[in-house]
Amino acid sequence: MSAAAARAVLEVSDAVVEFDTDGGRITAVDGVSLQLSTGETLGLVGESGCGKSTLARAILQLVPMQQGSVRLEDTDLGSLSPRELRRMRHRIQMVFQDPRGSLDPRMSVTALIGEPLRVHGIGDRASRAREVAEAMELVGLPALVADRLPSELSGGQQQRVGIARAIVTDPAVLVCDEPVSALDVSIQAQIINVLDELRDTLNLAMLFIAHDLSVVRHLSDRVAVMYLGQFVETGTASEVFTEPRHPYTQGLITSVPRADTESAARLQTARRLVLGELPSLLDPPSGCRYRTRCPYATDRCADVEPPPDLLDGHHAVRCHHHRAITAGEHQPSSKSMRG
Amino acid sequence: MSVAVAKRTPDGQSAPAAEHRVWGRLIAMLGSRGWILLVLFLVLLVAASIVPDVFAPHDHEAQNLRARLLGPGESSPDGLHLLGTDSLGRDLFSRMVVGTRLTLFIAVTATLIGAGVGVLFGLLGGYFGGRTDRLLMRLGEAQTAMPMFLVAILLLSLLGPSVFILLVVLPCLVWPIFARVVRAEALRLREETFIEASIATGCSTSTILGRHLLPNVAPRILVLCVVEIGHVMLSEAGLSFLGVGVQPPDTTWGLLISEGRPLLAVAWWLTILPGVLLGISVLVLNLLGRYWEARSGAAG
Repeated sequence: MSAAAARAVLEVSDAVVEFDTDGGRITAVDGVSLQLSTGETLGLVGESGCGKSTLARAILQLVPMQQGSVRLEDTDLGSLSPRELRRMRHRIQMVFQDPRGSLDPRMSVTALIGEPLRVHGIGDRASRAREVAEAMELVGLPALVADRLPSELSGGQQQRVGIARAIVTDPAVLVCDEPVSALDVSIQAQIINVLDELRDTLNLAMLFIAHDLSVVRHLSDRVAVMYLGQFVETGTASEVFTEPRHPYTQGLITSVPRADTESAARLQTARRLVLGELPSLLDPPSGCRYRTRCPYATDRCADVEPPPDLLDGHHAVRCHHHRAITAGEHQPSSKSMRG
Repeated sequence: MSVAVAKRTPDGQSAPAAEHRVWGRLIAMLGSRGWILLVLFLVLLVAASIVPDVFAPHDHEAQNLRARLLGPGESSPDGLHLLGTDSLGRDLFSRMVVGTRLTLFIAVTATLIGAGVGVLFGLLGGYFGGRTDRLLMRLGEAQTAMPMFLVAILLLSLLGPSVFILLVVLPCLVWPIFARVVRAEALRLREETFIEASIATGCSTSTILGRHLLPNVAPRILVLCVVEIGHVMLSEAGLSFLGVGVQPPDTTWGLLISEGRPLLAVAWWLTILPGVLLGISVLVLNLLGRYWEARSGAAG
C-alpha cells in the first residue's frame, strides 16, 4: 500500500479524553491511536455518542486531552503555547456537521471563506480575493452567491462554504465531522464528491467521520470502527467492509439496508444485528465493552478486555472470539439472540 | 405580532407581564408604518438641536418684562408666543427648542459611554465566564444595588454640578443594563458551532470577540441604546430638576421644568409643557426601541 509507505502527516497516540458530567466523570475517548498520510482518507464510523466527534475535537485541540499526543507534521500540538497553536491551525482544518451553525450568520460568503486567510495573514487583500474565488470554484459555489449571508444559501451551499473555509489555507489535514449527515440525501453525494476531488487535487490527508457506512465506504482507504471510545476494528476499507471480523462491525454492516450483494447476503443469513442501546459511558461494561450487546459474549469477555489482535498487516480486531467466529466454531448464544 | 411583543423582555429583566401587554398594545396601535412617525419626531428633535434658529421664533434669551408669564397662544409686541413666556418674558417654545441640544447631547453621549463599558464587560464576562464573569457581574450588581441617584446627587454637590460630571455619573446608571444583556447573548453565542469553528480556523480571542460576537449582538445593543437614551434623558432631567445637573444659563428640558416649578400655580405651562415634551420623547424612544426589537425578534 502506498498509503502505508508514505510518511504520516497526522499521528495520534493513545488519546484519552475525559469529561466531567452531572453524573460523574466519563471517558469519551479511551486510548485511541491513528496515523494518517498525505492523500489518504481514514473513515471513522460508530454510533452517535461513541466519541467520534470528541476525538475529532481533541485532534484539533478544541477539547483538552488527558493523555496521549497529537503530532501534526512532526509538531506535538499539545506542547504548543496557545499562540503557537493558533499559528499552526491553518495546517489542520475541520468541516463541521451543522453547515448553517458553523457559519457566522452575519458574515458574507466571501468574508467567511476569506477569514482563515485573513487571520493567518496569508497574502494581501488582492491575492486573498483571488484565493477565495479559487476556493469557491473548487467546491462548486457559483460566483453569484459571493455576497450572500449563510441564511440565504441552501444546506448544500452552506456546507460548500464550510469546506471552502477549511481548504482555503491549503491544509495538510482535513477533519470532516459528519459533513453530510445534516444534508438531504440528494445533496450528500454531491458534497462527498467535492471532498473526494479535493482530497486528490490538494493531496489532503483526510479523517472522515460518519455514522453512515456507505458514505465511508465510498470515500475511505482505511476504516476505523469506534465503540464506546475505543477502536474495535481497523483495516483497509475492503477488509473491514467485505470481511468484517468484529461482531459490532458485522452488526453495523448488516443493519444497513441494501440491495443483495454477495457479502451482504452471507451476513444476512447470520442475522447479526446490533442489539439494544449503547451502554452509558458513566458505567461502561467491564472487559470487552461490546459484550452487553454481543451475541457471542462469554464469561471471558466480561473478565478480560480484549487487546487489538493484528491480522495480516493492518487489519486489527479487538475481540476474543473473532477467529473462532470466522471459523464457524463459535455460535451466537440463544439468550442474546432473543435480545 | 402583539403576542410576540408582549413576551419579550428587551432589557433582560423580568418585568411584570402587564407592563409588557401595555407596550404590546401601543406597538400594535402603531401598525406597520407607525414607526415612520416616531422617526420623524426624532428627526425633528435632532434638527432642532443642530439648527435651533430655524425652529425658534424668538431669541431664547431675550427678556421682555412687559410680556411676563403670557399663557400659550398669547401675543406680545414681539409676536405670537405659541407656548407662552416665563417670568422674565422669554419665549418658552424658543427655550425648549434651544434646550433640545444639550438634552440630547447629554443623553446620547452618556448612553454611548455606558453602552461602551457595558458591552465590553458583557462580552468579556459572557465569553470567558468563570472568575472574570463573576467579578464583572458582581461589580454591576453592586452598582445597581447602590442608590445611584443619591450617589449622583452627592457627587455633584461635592464636586459642583457640571456637564462633565453628568457624563461620568449618568453612564454609571446604564452600563450594568448593557452588560447584562450582552453577557446573556455572549453566553448563548459562545456555545454556537460557528464560534468553535472560528477557534478551529485560528481566530484570536480578540477576533472572536470583535468580529464574531460583537456583530451578532449589535442589533440588540442598538435597540437598547434607543430605549436607554430615553431613560438617561429622564435621569438628567431629574438631576437638573433637583438643581445638581445642568446650570443656567445652559438649559435643558429638565432645567426648564425645574425653573417653572415655583410658578406652577400661576403659570402651569412652564412646567407642564417641557414635561410633556420630555414624556413624549421618552415614550417615542421606548416605542421605537421595542418596535425594532419585536420586528427583529419576529424575523428570527
